[in-house]
Amino acid sequence: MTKRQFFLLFMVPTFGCLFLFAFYPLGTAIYYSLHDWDMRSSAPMSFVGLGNFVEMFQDPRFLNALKVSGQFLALTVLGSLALAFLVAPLVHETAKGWRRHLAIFVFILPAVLPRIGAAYMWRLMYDPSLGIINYLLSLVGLGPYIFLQNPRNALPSIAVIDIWQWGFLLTALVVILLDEVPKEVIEAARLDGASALSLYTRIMYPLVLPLSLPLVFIKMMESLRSFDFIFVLTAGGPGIATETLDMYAYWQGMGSSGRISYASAMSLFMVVMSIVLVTFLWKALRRWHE
Amino acid sequence: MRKVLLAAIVALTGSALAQTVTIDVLAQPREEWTLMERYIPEFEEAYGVKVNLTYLAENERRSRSRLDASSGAGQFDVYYIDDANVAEFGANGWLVPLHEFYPEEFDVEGFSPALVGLLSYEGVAYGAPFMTEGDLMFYRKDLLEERGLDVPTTLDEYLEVVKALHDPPRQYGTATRGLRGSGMNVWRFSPYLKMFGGSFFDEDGAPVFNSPEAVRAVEYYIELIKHSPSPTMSWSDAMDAFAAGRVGIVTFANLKMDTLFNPDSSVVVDRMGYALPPAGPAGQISTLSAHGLGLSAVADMTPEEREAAANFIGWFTSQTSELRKVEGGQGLTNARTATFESQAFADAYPAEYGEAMRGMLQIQELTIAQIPQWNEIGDYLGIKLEELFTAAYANQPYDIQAALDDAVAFANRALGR
Repeated sequence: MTKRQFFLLFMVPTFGCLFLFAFYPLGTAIYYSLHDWDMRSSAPMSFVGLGNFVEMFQDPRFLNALKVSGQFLALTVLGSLALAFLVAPLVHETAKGWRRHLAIFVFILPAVLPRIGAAYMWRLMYDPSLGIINYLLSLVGLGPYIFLQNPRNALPSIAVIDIWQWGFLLTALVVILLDEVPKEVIEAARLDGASALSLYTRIMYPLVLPLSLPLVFIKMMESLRSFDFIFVLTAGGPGIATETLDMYAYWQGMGSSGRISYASAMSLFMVVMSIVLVTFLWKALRRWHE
Repeated sequence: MRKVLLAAIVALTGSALAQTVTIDVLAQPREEWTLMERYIPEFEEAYGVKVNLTYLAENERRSRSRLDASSGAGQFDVYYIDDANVAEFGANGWLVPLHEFYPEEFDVEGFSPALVGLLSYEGVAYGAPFMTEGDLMFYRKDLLEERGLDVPTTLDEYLEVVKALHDPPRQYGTATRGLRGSGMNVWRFSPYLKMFGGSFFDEDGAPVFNSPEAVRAVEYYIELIKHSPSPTMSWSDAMDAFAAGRVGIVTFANLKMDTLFNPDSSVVVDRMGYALPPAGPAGQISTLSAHGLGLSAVADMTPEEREAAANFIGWFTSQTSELRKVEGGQGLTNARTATFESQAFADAYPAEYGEAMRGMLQIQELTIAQIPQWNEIGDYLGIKLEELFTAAYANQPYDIQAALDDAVAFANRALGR
């Protein structure tokens, strides 16, 4: 087999799939976003230029979705990180040997659950009348609280589930990273009389943080595509309190309106936003490493 | 011996050849479909057809069929349609008119004319109905007796009973749909709108569901929501809560009664009573709904496939199939007049229920608008209602008039007015 044949054998299927499932849909999305295809009408579609994009920024529901997506991203990424960096030192300091392995195993468990499965489980747990959370609260004389059905609580309640799944996974990874910090560094700091707090804030975290940035990166991507998860929990409700960008694009395109072109424009906007975000982070990451 | 073998081979290949006609049917998971699935092999054998069923839940079924038809993909030969999307399908010419394809042997005239009318657009029938539903009031006889309450006949009395039976979290006064959607909370709200004297559109087709009557109807509905276990219940949530004995009195569609009559799924079998829904200031109204099967005008079918699809629709909606549903415990959702008057129906259900059911048929009317934009407008109104319901439930401020004005403005845009 020549090098060329070898190359073709492996690259053609890969690029074929990439073309079929990524570039071709992207191309059609761009094409549709510049037209006005509406599934409810059999009229032929016509070219509308940037009309869909202009409409987007005058559409309060789109702006709301943008806000919700941003809030969800911030809540889940910062929440997961906060959890990881608060819990990991505790495990690092207190659990050694098999205890630490067990802790890591337990922390990874929530992330192993399929997102949809976790969503159904929590939806039941959050239920105002049948849920275990309100039952437990009632034992100490609290509640009943409304979680997913209250416009103000819904998004934070969903974020809690996401943080439960991802925050503990990050915790496990940070525990492993903390192990990698050279013992001499820690001992030297202790000899110099560093308190536990300054040991972590000044030595451990700065050493571990750059290594965990790729995790943040992955978490952000994950938070941006939480459609399945939110769809099961609230489907964007109450009202539009938890309607993210992908959710709104779905409602416009498939759900009820059938406005494929408008939905394509929104999806494209999401793609561009993601690319900008990723590039920004990537640059920051490289600067950190240098 | 050789002859026998040969005959066997011929018969086998013959049946294999006859089996090559395949039809794709889009359906919605419902109990009567599960029941009828048992008989599909019988149909396949008799007509030499292979039936592929695809099940999708209501909202997904509507969007999938619309995508399939509007994109010209035409994967499905038979669409599952309902009163809410027949206008869209009819207006776009995605369906073959009923009377052009319905096989004579299955008797197209036997359907209740009201239901055929409901599955029509601009006077042309498109769907062969196989089920209808309307509203009945279900109440807990034991609880009403305990408190010395009469069965309510007006909306005011109904609300009083709801409040009297409300003792959360052990027991809720009622359970009503709050989950958003044109076929969800808006559907359940629609008879209340009419009973308070409001309507969705005026005679010229202009949206008017922000009238003072509409505001009063929403105010009333919010009272019901406040006495429900959750402000965003679906119809099955509400039914399950009543079947579990956690709810005092409800008004909802009668189609899942078979669950309530079954001691395995219901603890209230012997303790429930049924009556007509309570009357409002502007009358006593039940929703009217029909689901049916339509023949796709989009799918690229051979004449054999088209005939097979038409036969499937005929067979599924035939008198024989309806009586099988009655015998199989799924007899409440039929569409042929003869079925409701049959002895089999009288044997299967309590007389009291049969009476309520016949009374319901008298007060049923169309409560939504059959226009192609209905789903979009209804879904938007559904969101606004859900916002009001959840805010009220959580004791947060809300403004009914502003929410309805907003939904009417949206409807005007959607209608291009």
